[in-house]
Amino acid sequence: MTSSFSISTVTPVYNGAQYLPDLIVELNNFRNYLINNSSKLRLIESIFIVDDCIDNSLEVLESQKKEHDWIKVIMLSRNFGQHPATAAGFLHSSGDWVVSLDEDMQHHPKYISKLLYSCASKSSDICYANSIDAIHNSFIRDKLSLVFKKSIGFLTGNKNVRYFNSYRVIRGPIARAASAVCRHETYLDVALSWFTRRINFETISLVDQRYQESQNSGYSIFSLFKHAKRMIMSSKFKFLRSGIFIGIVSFLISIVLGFYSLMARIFHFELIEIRGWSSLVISILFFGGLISLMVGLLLESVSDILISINGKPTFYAIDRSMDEELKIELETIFSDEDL
Amino acid sequence: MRIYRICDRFNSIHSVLHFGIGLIGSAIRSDILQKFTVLKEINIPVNWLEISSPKMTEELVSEITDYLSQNNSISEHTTVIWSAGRIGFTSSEEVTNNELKIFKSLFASLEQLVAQKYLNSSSKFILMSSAGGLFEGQVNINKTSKYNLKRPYTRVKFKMEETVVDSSYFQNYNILRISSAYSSKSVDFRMGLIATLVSNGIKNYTSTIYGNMNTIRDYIYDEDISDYVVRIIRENLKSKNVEFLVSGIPISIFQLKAMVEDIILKKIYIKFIDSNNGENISFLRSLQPQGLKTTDIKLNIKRLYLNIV
Repeated sequence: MTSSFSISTVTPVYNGAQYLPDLIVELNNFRNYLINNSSKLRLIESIFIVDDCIDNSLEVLESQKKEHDWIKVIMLSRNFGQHPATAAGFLHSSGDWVVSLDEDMQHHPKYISKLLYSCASKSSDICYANSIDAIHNSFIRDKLSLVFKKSIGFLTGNKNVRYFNSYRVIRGPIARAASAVCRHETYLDVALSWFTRRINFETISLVDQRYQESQNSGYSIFSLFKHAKRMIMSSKFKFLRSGIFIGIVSFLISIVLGFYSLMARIFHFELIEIRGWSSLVISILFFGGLISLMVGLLLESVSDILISINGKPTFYAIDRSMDEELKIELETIFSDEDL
Repeated sequence: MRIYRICDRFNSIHSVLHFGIGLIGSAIRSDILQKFTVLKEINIPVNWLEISSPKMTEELVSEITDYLSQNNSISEHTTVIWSAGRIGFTSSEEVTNNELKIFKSLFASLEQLVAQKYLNSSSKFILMSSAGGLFEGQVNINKTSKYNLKRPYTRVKFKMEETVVDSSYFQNYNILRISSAYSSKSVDFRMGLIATLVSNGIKNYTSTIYGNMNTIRDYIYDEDISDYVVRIIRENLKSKNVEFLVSGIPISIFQLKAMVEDIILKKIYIKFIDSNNGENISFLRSLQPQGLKTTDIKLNIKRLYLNIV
């Protein structure tokens, strides 16, 4: 059993050449801090996934790579998007813990210790960063983001959706396993939650500098829609259960009403003033309910098949026995403010 | 053991003395047959269980000497490839020491052939060594990583490397440190992890793995190795190189399982047994020598599957 702990960072890169040197300086500071304090914790690699950049990010990274041998650059053949790029990075990592962070300094490496400590102290497998302030400093943009996450959380029944953030610390084996089962339409964070329920978050300061400077978000309405579709398609449709429930209720009501109408017809014929309506309503309730129930069950099965095809595992084994030692190490190396 | 007399595209004649036609050796042989004009191929059957006897070694060396003298090999370039060996990570001290004895004995005989001028002193010796074994339990292994010789197997590999490096007869050598090699050919001997997963997956058998599903390893395709070996023979450069033939991509057992399931379209069953063989081993891609071309593992697993079915 190893008594040292390794960290890999993964950064998908699309259009952030101007921020990359600063990010690498900060990562290097973090790395050197661990080395200078003879920590058992090591930043062994920073993996940058170049997602078919539209700027000179690749050149910047190649020149930085010459100075820092712990930088790995992986070039994707075309633009696949943030989640596939992050998954590719996870699959190239070797660390006991993997940190994903954006290229644009929205996710400052100084918080890695805090997120990692949160995982170690609570023995959780994933810790998401959660912003103290409005990330984009735009009321509409921030509210939209919140409403979007809440709606998706309701539709999919995944309560962790509200935590989802691309600044995350993940136990290495889980990051690699989730990435291994990811398809092109799988939402990476949903795949991660197939492997663990031990998910928590830490509140830190996140500022989308790029959005604030240019007022240009990476997301259009169309891409937001695609994002939602990907999240829903990767999850089990919770709302299908409401369809099944409505179907059952409607079916049962039709049975009760049918029995009542039959009794009324036999024993109190005079009670029925307008004839024909009750049988019509009962028929609609009966067949409507039956159809809803059948379609709901069918869709639930389809949903199960889809998730199975998407790679949701039957089980997954993990070793958390070193968490206490990691916690002690972090407490030794970092001050209370950093944790 | 095989001897090839080959001619390259510049009509230059080479001789290749090839020890060991196992998983990697077979790939090297078929690449030599494909990429050179083979003027002659001599097969000398060797029983590796008996080769440690001096009589057997003598007989083998005598056949090699006959070939070399008949073909005036002193005036040609000769490459010796050592891809022989039956030992693995879990082999005992006794078995590994026996293999070291065989290697040292044959290597000394080959040195004598150089001394007696049957072989040119600029002949090259290519030794297949173990990358994972020499640096066991480390991730992101790079040029500054330190040896971690934990097993008899790795100590023997290290001693083999030392023997080649210290030789005053072989002026040129390439020591190739190989990570976990796999093949897309269906073989019955020493099936690697990937072949076992595919083969057992097709048959619905349970595969037993000594380690756990999070164990990270580096996998290199046998034809990528043979392509590099052929390149060394063809370029015929004077060199004393220790090189890492690794893919530089860490892959966990779980990832392999997912890949195999994707390809064979079936669930595969694995039984994990706790062992001291489950430590992570991965390499930096920057260790790859220039000229090594690594192919996509998923594509190669697909080839393996098609070969098996």
